[in-house]
Amino acid sequence: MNAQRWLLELRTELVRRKLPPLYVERFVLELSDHLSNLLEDRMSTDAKDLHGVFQRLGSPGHVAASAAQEFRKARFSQRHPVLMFVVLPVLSLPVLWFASLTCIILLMGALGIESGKVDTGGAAWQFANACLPYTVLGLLILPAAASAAFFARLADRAQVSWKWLAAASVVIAVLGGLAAIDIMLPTMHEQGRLTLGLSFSRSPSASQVLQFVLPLAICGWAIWRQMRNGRQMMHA
Amino acid sequence: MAIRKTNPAFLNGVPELLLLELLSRRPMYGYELVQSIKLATGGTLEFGEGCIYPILHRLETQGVLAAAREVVGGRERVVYRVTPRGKKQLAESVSAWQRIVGAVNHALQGGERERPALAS
Repeated sequence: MNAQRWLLELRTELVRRKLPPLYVERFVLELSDHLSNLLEDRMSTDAKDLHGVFQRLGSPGHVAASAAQEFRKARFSQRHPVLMFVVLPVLSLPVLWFASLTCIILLMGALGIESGKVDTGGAAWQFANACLPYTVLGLLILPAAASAAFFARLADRAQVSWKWLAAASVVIAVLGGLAAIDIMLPTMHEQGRLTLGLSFSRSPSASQVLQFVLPLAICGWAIWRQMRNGRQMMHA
Repeated sequence: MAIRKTNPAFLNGVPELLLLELLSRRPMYGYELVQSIKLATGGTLEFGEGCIYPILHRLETQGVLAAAREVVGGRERVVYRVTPRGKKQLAESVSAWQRIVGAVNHALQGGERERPALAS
């Protein structure tokens, strides 16, 4: 066996074990450097035993198995990708929506817009009413965008396969795209209303399209960046 | 780091301890580190050299080590150094190791016989 073949076999074994491309490139790069050092040492000592060099490194299969084992030991998200990139995104959006709505309710309270004591002619009510469409749009879009950005960052740090980030982005996009919020400010005669739910429409509004596309775009960008970094590392 | 068959299985955690100790003395790249382990242990502990890197990468992910590409000996290499968190972990590991070695030595030297029997 020669050095190139050993490295090629190592790469094949690492890929077979579904390690992320960025990690595979780095690993092969370091092992290639190590192998060069071993071969240089062998030449300087006039040792003829090339087999011994590979024996010192270990077989590609053994080294790749060790790499896969250690890699998955490192992070919770690497050990439980389904939980982290499928279940958690489902939970994250309702939590963010409720947190955002709570903030809105508290803000309205602070502005004095509460049921039973509302002056609809007041500046605060008029301002809140004018801002309402934008607030609803923000409530629909921002949690989904924040959630997508969070999982993109998590996937990048944990160096999990891009497929997990893609899964998370689809979950967020579907949930985010189906979300509907309706807010009506209280008036002198009527109580305020706040509705949060999921609704499906065959002809979605521009807002719903944005709710669906934005998480996909954020995660897509993160995946593209991850792949580009992997390629740069390979050419380095 | 996979320990070869020449080393017993109870050496779990020892490679990490050795790596941290040697890297706390000075930053090193992988090959340099392997040579240092051989020197430091007098060749008693033999490791599959290719398997040292997965452990280094895991320790890096855990924030115990930091890695940076640096030119060493005219070649760009990944150089590892211990972080403040790694120094803390090393101190804890050394302390735990000394306790265990002391306890095992005590038992091997007949320490059990000096103690009263716990159960009849």
